[in-house]
Amino acid sequence: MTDERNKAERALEDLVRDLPPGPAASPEFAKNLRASFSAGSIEAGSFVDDSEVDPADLTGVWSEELDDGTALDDTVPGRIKDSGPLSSPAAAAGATSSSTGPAKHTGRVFAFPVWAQAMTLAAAVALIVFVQNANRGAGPEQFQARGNGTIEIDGKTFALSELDAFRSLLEPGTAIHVEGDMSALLDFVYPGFMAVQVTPGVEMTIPEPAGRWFDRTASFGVDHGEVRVVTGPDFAGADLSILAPGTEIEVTGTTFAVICSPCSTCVCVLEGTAQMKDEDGKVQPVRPGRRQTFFNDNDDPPFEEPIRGEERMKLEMFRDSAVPRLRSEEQK
Amino acid sequence: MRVQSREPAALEEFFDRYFPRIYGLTQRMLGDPTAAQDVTQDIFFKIHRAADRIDPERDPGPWLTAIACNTCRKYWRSKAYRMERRSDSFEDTPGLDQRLPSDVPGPEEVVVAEESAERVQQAIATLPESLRESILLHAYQGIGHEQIAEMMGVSHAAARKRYSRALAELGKALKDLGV
Repeated sequence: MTDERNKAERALEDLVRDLPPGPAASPEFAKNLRASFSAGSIEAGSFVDDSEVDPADLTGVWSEELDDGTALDDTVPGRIKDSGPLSSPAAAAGATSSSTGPAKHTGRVFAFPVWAQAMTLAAAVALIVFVQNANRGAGPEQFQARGNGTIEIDGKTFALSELDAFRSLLEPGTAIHVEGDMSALLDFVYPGFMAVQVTPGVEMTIPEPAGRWFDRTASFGVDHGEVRVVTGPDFAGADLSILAPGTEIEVTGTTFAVICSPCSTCVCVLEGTAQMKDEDGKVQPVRPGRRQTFFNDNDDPPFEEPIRGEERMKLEMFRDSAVPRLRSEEQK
Repeated sequence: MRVQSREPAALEEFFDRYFPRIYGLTQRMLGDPTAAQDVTQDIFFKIHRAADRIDPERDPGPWLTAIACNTCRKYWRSKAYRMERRSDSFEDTPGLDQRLPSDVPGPEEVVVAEESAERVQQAIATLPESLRESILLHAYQGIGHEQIAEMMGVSHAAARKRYSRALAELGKALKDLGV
């Protein structure tokens, strides 16, 4: 059986191997590209600027509730719905649609002048904004960039050695793309909370910090490449949610790496715990010292194996360098 | 060294040497000449940008293959590609035959071989992107599983497993095409 299978596999391999060189490009295209390449006037492919996420593609992936016809406005916390002018009769009277039958009273005990309503609303909004800002955890600090590489932020490319030029652009939620050779690294610390190390090839967003008192979930997305994370003492009671292609990773205090490729996402846990949740909501725990791989197409079952020696070493090195930086913040 | 300093003559020489290989790979990966041209342009744009970092002591082949694969993946993640896929499936695309290599004149054997190659390319085009990448990198480009694993960010075992699955899927796709 195995021999037959090997024979069939070899025959298929031969078919692919014997494919002739790919069809030639149109001479005009090749000529123009050659001229612009040698003259330095070559431009990026036109599809690149087109790659933002199409909301339709998120439907049924991370936000199943969108499938049932619920309006997006209803699912996004904090989004204010456009419910008409504030001076509309319903708004002014504080009326609700649940009132039935003839009303004995108008419901208005005493009338607020419009300016007072506006002031109250403004004060309420200001209070909410103040509390939200006060709750917001500290953003990334202590940036370190080294090695030969570049970082792309909002369409601008910088050499990693120009840290002072791009440091201020690295705000939570900003998409970055780091490229370079094996020496290229970017790392940063959320004081006392976590340290993040970005390796060459990574496409990710800078993590949003967790709230200080409520909304204690930090989050970020990784599209491609390897990101290492070490959590600090202030992480206790919080959690970290990472969106990667085909899976969501939930972490509750650990040293780990997330490695994303177009076909799979792998989580390597050195210490602590992590769990990976696939698009169907199936949860797979990842134990310390193990790596768990999820395939994006969901055809292959996830599989677990021990962390490779090289990855273990890199995680240990990062942990050893990050922990003092996280602790020094704690002492402050 | 001259490529690193972006001397036009050296860049032309570099282009002549590697363009057919890069375009051939992207064409096989994407199965669409228009997309292959766009992606190839992007690849050479990246090469030009990084020319000063090319190590003259090392064969740039693996580096170029890695850039080509990364750019194909970027294309696969692009809105343009997703839009195209939404309105167009490989199973019922009437224009697919026109988009794939064909019409090479010559003796009967050459025509038969070309037809066979065309079928194989058609079958490859029906595979999911990750499997297409796996099979083209290993069987067509001759890149080892270990290097592919590194490029894909998976373990050696996972890369082998994926390749094996790609072959199985290719076999099924060829059967569906009557080969």
